[in-house]
Order: sequence, then structure tokens, then C-alpha cells
Amino acid sequence: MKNLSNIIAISFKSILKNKRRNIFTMIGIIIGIAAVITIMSLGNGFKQTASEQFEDTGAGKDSATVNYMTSSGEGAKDNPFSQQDLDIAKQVNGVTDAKIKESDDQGYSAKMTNAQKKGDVSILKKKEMTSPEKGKGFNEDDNELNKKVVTVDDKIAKDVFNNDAIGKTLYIDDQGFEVVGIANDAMNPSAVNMPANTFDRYMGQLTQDFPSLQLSLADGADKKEVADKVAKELNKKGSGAGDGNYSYTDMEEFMKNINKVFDGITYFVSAVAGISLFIAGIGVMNVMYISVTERTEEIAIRRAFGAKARDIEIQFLVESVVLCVIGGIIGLIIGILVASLVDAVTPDYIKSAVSLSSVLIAVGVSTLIGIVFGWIPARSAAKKELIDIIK
Amino acid sequence: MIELVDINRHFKNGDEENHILKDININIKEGEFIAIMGPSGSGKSTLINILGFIDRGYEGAYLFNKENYKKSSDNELAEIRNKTVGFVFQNFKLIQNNTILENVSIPLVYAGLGSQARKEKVINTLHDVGLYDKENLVPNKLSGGQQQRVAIARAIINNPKFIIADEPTGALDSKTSEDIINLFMKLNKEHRTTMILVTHDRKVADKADRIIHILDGRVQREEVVE
Repeated sequence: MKNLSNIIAISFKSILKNKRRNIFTMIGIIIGIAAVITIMSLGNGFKQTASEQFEDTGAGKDSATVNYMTSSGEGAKDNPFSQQDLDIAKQVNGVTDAKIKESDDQGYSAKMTNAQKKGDVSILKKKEMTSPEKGKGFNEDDNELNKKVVTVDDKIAKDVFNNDAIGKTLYIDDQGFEVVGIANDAMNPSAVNMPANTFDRYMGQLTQDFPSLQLSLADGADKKEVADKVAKELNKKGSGAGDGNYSYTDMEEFMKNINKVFDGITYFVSAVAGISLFIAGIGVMNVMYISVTERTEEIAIRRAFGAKARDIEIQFLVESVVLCVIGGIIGLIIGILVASLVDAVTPDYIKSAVSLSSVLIAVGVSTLIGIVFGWIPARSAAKKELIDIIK
Repeated sequence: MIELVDINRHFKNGDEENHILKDININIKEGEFIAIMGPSGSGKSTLINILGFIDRGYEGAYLFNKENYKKSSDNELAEIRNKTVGFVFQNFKLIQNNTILENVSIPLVYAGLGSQARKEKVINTLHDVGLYDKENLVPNKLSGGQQQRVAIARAIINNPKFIIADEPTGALDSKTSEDIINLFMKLNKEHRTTMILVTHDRKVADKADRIIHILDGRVQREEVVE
């Protein structure tokens, strides 16, 4: 149809000619779409972080993690995953490899042996620590060179060095390390940061408080069955069998449940936003009806000079669709901005991830509202008999 | 070109039925300048609605170039109006929040012309009716006479076969009225466009080739102006 583009151009011009009213009409759509997009972005972001973290703990494909807990709940004194235990695990059918899994944010417990004060510290391996709260920290070169440097936290600095720690020597297991900075770690009290290579060289015999065993599985092996079997074997013969319990936690199942909860929240918010979009749609319909009534004379003039009923219908329909789509796009942008803002001001694990599907939903839903709620007024505009309205 | 044979028109008004047009027989030849005169309520507007393919609810036969369009669909009639008729109204009927350019373009939009071609044609036509550099103004920035010129430009832009002007001078002062009538006469002479002009004003009607007097829904008499 050749004059379709003409009619669409007329619709655009009409919208621009009534800016204020159209903006108010759009606000409903904008808020609804923005709410949906914000929640979807944050939900997706959280799911991504969660799955990355589980991937990290060994819940990824073809691998499983077996944990050890002492009966008392405190950290294990001796390594519950000795070389012997690894061999036991490897012999279980379906396991291709087994190794001790280290976690980046779990410390290694060690004894502090300074003359002034003795006690436990928790050593964290870091490749570099270039911006401690005080001091200059250490960089990757120090790590490569196995330099015996550490940073300590406020508690150690106060207890051991009377708040004057920089440049002093901290003894851990009778080995001296120069204190080069002060840095705190919320997860580990008495935290000491040490270059990773230095640690491996001098402190390699230490184990983490809550170590775990990472299993690599053969293709097609049933993860749960194999991991449970390993845990059972270790409970019988493992070196820590007397003091505690080896167990397999199905992280995948756990993650699925978390995702389910998040999906539920997303759907609930979407439903609420859906109601607001419905109301916004009624608003659009209302405004379009007013517009049709106000512009009866325009309709009459256009009809008298050759517009078909369908031309009038398309004109009003396009107006309402364009109105809604513009609202949808503004809502999309606001939603993305709000989600990024939430991402920026909240802790790391809340992230915003905008997916293509949320863009499609924003544009699709707003187009749909425009068509559904614009169609009825457009139809009534087209149905007016020229003889009745040309007065 | 136009042949009305025994046209009758009734309007239902609740239980009552009003008989507005009674046995109208009119012939209009191509290039003629016709004036239709008659008091209010005599049925002039009803008559021109039939002539302008707006009203199909009549009895009798309306032959345009020997063809009867009574059975045509609404869409077909829209197309016929677009190609054959140009309307000029007493109160101009310009779309107030559209520019002169957009107003005059309307028949071309529905004829399917592109925007560049439309603009060119609109400016030429505005020059024909004596308006210069007004195309980007809105109607209420113009005087009544100028607005009526815009309306006339809109009526003639698609080269219609005939123009129906419903009291085109009714809202204008006598000087402007004369200008507008002279414009109609010029268009009639130069383009041989058939004019059907409804008026109360004897002075206006005297410029026509022929005057048709209507009273109480009947053609009272026809008068050829010398």
C-alpha cells in the first residue's frame, strides 16, 4: 500500500502536536516497563553470579565436591584429605581424578609466634595487594620473587605491634615476614595476606580450615551417585573418619532451588507490573477516545477528501502504537539505568544483566498494548459515517 | 456530466419521517458555473451531499458521466471523492493544528503521492490562488479570506471534475467575498472546472451561468444569467 507511509507520517506528526497529553499517557507505560526490566535485569544478574559461584565451588559439569566437617564444628586440626584419601577416592568407579580444592576466600590457619603475643592467624593467598588501607602492600613482582612480606589486619596490628606494624616482623610458625601494609578482611578475623608463591614455598604444609575434595568424573557418570559413594568410602577409611563426617552436598539441586525462588519473585513482580501496564493501557484507550472525539472534524475532512475508513483506522492505531512503543523504549532505558544503579550501590553479588529477551519483552509488550487498546478507539473513528459528521 | 433523475430523500427522525428532497431533476454540463439558491432548510445541503458522493441514502438516479455509483462501496466512494470532487465549506474546515502545507496536501496524501511531490504541487497551487510563503503557518494565523483561499487550493489540488462550494462567502465581508468569487470564476474559465456554488447572496449568484432555485425540497425554477 503506497500511502501507508503517508498515513504513518501523519500519525507521528499528530503525536508531536499534542506533546503534553501524550507524555502523561506514556508515564503509565514507562513505569510498568521500567519495573519489569529492572527486576528482570537484577534477577538475571543474580542468577549469573550464583551460577558462576557454584561453578567455582566445583558444582560444574563433570565435577563434584565432597566436604568434611568435624563433629565439633571447628576447623580440622589435621588434613582430612591426605594423599591416601585421594587414592581411595580415585578408586571409586566413575572418578577420573581427585584433588584438594582451595577456595580463594577461605584462610589457612597458622600459629603466630611473635614474642609479644601468640595466637592463631588466618592466611589468605593473594597474587598482589597493591592498595591496603595503610602501607604500600605487595605487587606481582614480590609474588614472583617469593618475598617474605605480609599485610596484617587492624586486630593483629593493635595486639602485636601496638598499632605500629609497618616495617616490623611478624612470625608465623617461627618464620619471619615483614609487615608491609594493613588490610582487613570481613570474612576472616586475624587475616594475614601473603603473596601466593611465598605461601606455597614456605607454608605449603598448611591446610584450610574447611577443606574440600574436588572430584573429576568420567563422562556420563551419575554425579550424585558417584560422589555419595566417595563420601561413604571416606567415612569408612578416610583419615578424618573418627573426628568428623565426609559428605556430598548436591550444589546443583541447591542452585536449582535458588533459581526457582528467584523465578518466582520475578514472575510475581512481573504480574504486578502487568496489572500496572493493563491500567496504563486503559489510560491509552481513554486518551485515544478523547482524541477521536476531539478530532471528529479532522476525520470528516480527511474522509471528504478521499480517506478510506481503513486509512483513518490505521492513522489512530499507529498513533497509539507509536505512543506505547516510545513509552516502552523510555521505560526500557529507565529500567536499565535503575538496575545499573542498584548494581552500583549494592554489594558485588547483586549484578544487573540486561538480556535480549528483556528488550524484546519491553518492545513487544508495549506494541501489544498499543494495538489492543488503540484498536477499539481507532475502530470507532473509522466507523463514523461521513454524512453524520460533516456538518 | 451530472444528471439527477427524480431524486427523493427522506430522513427518519424517531417515528417521524421527513421528506427533504422531492423529485429533483437537474442536469449540469461540464465546465458550467452553477449557483444553487434557496432559504435555510430548503434542502440545499442535502442536495450537495448527494452530489458530492457523501450521501447514498436517496431514491432515484444520480448519474455521473452516465454512471451510477449508488451501489459502490464506502471505499470506492472515498476514491471517487478523492479524484472527482473538491469541497469548499462556509467555515473553511481546515485542520487547525496542521500547517497550510499539510492541510492542502490531504487529497494528495490519499492519492498516494510522495512528500516531495506533494510539497511542490501544494506550493504551485497556493500560488494559483494567490497565497505566497504561507505554507508553514497554521490556519488561525491567516485572515478569513486567506483561509478560504487555502480551502480552495485544497479543493482544486487533485484536479477534480467539479467543485462543490457550500456558501463559500458566508463568513466573509463583501470585499473578500468578491475576491473569492472572482477566484472561482478564474478557475472556472482557465481550467474549465465545473462549479456548483450554494449561496444566499444574489450578487454572488449573479456571477454564475445558471441559477437553480430550491424551495421546500423542490426545484422551484432555473434561471439562466445573461
